[in-house]
Amino acid sequence: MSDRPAAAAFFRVEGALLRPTAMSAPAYFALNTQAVKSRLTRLGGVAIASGMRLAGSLGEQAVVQKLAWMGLRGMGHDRLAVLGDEYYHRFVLPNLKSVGLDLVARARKDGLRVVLLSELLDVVVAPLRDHVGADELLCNRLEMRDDEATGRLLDPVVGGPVSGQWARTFAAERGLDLARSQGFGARGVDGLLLSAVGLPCAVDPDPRLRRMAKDLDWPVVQSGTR
Amino acid sequence: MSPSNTPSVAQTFAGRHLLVTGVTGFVGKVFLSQLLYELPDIGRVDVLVRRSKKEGAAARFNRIAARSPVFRPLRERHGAGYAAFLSERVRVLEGDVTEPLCGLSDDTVAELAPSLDAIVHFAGLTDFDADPKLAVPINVDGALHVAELAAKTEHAAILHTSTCFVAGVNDGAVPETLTPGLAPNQRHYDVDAELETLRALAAGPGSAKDRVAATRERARELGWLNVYTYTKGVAEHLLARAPVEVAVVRPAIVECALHYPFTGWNEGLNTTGPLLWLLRSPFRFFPARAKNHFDVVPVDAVSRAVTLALAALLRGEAERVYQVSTSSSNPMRMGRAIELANLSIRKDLGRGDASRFERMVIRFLDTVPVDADADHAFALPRLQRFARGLKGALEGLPVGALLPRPAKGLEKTLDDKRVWAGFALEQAEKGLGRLQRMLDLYRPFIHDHDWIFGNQHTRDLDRALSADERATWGNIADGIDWRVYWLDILYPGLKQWCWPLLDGGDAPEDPADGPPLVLVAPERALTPKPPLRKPARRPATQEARP
Repeated sequence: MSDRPAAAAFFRVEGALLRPTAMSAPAYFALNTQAVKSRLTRLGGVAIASGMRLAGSLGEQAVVQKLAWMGLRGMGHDRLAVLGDEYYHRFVLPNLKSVGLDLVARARKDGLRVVLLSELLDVVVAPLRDHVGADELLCNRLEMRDDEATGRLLDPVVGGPVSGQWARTFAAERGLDLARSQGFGARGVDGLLLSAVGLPCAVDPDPRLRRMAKDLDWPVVQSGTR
Repeated sequence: MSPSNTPSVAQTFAGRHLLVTGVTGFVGKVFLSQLLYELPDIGRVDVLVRRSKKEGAAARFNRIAARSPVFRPLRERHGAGYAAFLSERVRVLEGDVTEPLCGLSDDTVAELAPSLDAIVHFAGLTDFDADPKLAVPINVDGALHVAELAAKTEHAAILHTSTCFVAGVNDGAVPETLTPGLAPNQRHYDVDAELETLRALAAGPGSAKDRVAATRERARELGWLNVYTYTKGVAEHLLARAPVEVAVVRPAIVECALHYPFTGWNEGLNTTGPLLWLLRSPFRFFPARAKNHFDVVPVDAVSRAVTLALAALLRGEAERVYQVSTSSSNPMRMGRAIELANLSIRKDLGRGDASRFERMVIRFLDTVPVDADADHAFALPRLQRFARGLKGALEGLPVGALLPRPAKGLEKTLDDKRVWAGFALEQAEKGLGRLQRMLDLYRPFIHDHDWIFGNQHTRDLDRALSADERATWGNIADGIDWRVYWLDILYPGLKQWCWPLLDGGDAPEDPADGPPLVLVAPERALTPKPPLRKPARRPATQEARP
């Protein structure tokens, strides 16, 4: 047995594993609240968050996430679980990228610890961990009080750029060797995470990440070209 | 007593002789089937079955044993030997609880007397507001006749099934106690005089509607909510004074099975079935208080509790009352029940067999609980008034006079449409009226009262079990994950087993397999076993056991 510390493969679910979906998860949840009247008001919050996502800087993305999920305030844990399951089957499973799944399979074959990072709620994305055979899943969780969502996300909020400091702390807690670890992302917000690992890789990158990959000479994997 | 000193359930029942009433009913069937499945060493089970208009008692029972899904586990286990297995253990006695000594002959009573260990009394009329002409003889006199029969035997005790809702207006925390002569509104009443009052109400003149109204009024004077809880409540009080050992099992709302006979099984129209059926319609505003408890128990949890309470009764260790409930130990609120109903419907209508209207509209219109007395835009009385008003306006509409001259040719067509719309509105008004009456019937249980039924005695029965026996007889209600139960068990179960009845069909049965089932009387005679407890004939008394 090797004495070397284990290494990990970090996958940012949005982009690296999952294609953009026709409907965002917060919008889907907001549209399916129990009382018909509150659906539109909740959807308004999601619309504002979407606008901010497009217009805002990288640093504001955590705020965007918080705002987007705020509309779920008062939603019971039963509805969250059912809608999460619906969303997973309707929008997540059919939109998984084969290129991302291949990369996960390869990482597992290479003995790497597979870590998924997702902006989605645990009620949506938890089954994905078992589906792809990941070791860990870091995702957003809603604060619950009396079995109802308060609308606040629990820390740490996944949504903004994952900092290199976060990756180092995470690796230190689990005895992981970041230099031998891999990172897979698709968007500009993933740049810092990818910078923290020894083997970064951009998967179908957006223009911002594509520029960064080019500057830093990171490999780029494109769907349909492998 | 510690579990190690207590005879096991199997040991308690081995060789025992029971008489069971109401085995053609929902809970009685499950009890009998599970008893025979899990405790085949039982001595004999006599089942008291009423002759129906179409068939005799034996034929009626045999058809149920052959076709009811409840007996499927037994049929599957014994295959070709099923009839022989039943014949060895079960004897059908034609009788009727509404008759003295349950309609049994003196010879039969004399034959039962030395060996009968207990009468398990399930027979009852569970309609909320049944005609007292039917409800009193079955629910009240029936209990007295069972007590009379038990008193004729050497040592038979009675396990009487009732309902948690005999608590009536006495809501809040409801303990497992029984005080004869104390009405739910805490008024003391004379039990004997009340029996006469009930009989007089049952024999009352006029229509069934008049008798129901009079009986309801009397029920409310004492704090009971309807004819059912009133008659069951008085029956408990009468039995508590009978000179025989009596234990009362009070289930809350009995619904789909968790495990036995198989997951999801249900029968007949119970409380949740019609309510869920209603929520599946375009009806959106449900008069219910979200914070109130909604106490549902699976039928096999009741069957288990009855068996354990009966074992305790046979051993002389029984408490007076066992409540089989979840509101105190695994509570679910009305608001959550409605939400789970919404989600169940959503899940169901998302499948392919739903109509386009159901899939695209109903599925996304979730029901919300509202105050029954609030006059909101979609309150039923308002909708009824609206339908009535619109119909009146249409009736007086002079279509011909309103049409411009060039459109006169359309007068006949439009007049036909006007007549059709008037008819549709009349039907809608009637439908809304029926809906209102149905909701009025359920209102005390979903809106006006909040009961938290204590179930410590039932939980103690579980605690006394060994680990092995707990798997078969343990309390399963406390471990229920309500989301899983509603979405995966209750809703699909009701849809399969109950809604065909609401839609005017028959209860689903298993296909006939082979020749008709016939029970042959066993050759061996039953040897009476000495009772495990000392026969304690208590004198009739007004005092309750604490």
